[in-house]
Amino acid sequence: MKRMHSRIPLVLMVALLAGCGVRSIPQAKNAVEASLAEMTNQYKRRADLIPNLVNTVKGYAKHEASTLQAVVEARAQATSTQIDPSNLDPAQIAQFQKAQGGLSQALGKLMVVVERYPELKADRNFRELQAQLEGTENRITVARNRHIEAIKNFNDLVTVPPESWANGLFYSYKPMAQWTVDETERVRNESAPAVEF
Amino acid sequence: MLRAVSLLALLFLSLPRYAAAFEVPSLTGPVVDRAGLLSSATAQQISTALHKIRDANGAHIAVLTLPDLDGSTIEQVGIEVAEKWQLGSKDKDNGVILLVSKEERKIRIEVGQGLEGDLPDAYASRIIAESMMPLFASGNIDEGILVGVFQIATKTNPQLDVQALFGDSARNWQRSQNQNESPGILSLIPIIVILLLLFGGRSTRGALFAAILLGGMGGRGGGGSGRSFRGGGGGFSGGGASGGW
Repeated sequence: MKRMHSRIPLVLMVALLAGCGVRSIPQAKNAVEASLAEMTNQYKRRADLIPNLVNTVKGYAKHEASTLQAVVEARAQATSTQIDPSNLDPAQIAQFQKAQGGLSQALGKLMVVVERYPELKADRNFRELQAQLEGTENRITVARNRHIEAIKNFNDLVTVPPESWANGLFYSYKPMAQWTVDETERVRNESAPAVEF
Repeated sequence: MLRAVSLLALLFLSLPRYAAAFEVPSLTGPVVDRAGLLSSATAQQISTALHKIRDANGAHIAVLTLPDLDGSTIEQVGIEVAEKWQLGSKDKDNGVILLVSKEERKIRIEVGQGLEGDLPDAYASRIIAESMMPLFASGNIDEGILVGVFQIATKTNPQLDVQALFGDSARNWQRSQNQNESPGILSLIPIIVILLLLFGGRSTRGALFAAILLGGMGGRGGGGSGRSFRGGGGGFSGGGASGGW
């Protein structure tokens, strides 16, 4: 009888924990990793479009060498800045955001310059690339928002009771560093009508 | 525990949504014409065809028109609607939304993840720019939407005879697909059909054409079908294209 009594709190605790984070915390962590993979994938997709775009623009806009060069350099910078999903710290995120933001800005300038070349804008190949670029920029925005939501969800679970108790008992995860809309990207969103977000 | 519950309740109440406050209309059928841009005949024609495509395990396509976007961009509204409606099945992600906003004069084709290969961004963009926008700009919005839906349906359902579902007149809507053909010849087709109908008289050929034409119209009432048009958990990742007129 005495043994029965000692088990009741344990049973209660297991029942409580089953609905309180034991499953949902690792699930939330997986969701963060999946959304990060999707986001970096979309950034890569954007970088992959650029060589073709630059070559097409070059054919029509010969006087825009410096703008094109800026895009090529920003792309090189962005593709060389990788993030390590298993060890995300604020500095790393800031660096990655800065590199991608720089590329966004360079692309934004290119798209403004392009407005001066009606023949380029009429080129079918260019229009297809522009549509792909716009689509990819939109995918990046969506993937980014989903990643931010996933991190927010995870952070809520590990910091807000009752789930945070399960975290303290079993996982001891710390809240993850959150992404922000960085300055370059914000300015770009406001000043580049050609590539819509 | 009470404190925990109230904390959680507070958390749910204060969850910010990442887009502006925009009320997504509920998915009542393949055509949700909130802006009243479609004639009832066209809405019926689209609805019947999209139900049939869906019932034949084709793509899950819906049309939404809005009076305005309430301060959001059409891309934000597009993904919000996609996330709420979840068109397409969970394993195929084969949903498409054609979104039109009257006030801002914007069009967007939101493509489900599973159809991004069949209907790439560049193609979606071309449907908007080359087939829909000219009709919209000349005030022919009703037909513009019909043509847009037809082209989306054709491209995303290569296994189905989409043309038969939309009627014989659908043949001249394929312009952006057969871009190398002269549009002049294509636009002659209805005239040829009419001439045949007129001068074919009682010949079997004329009768055959009439039968195809009438039979193809399909909209013999209803539009209802066995299967509901509810979303099946299809995922969207922001693919597609936008445009304006």
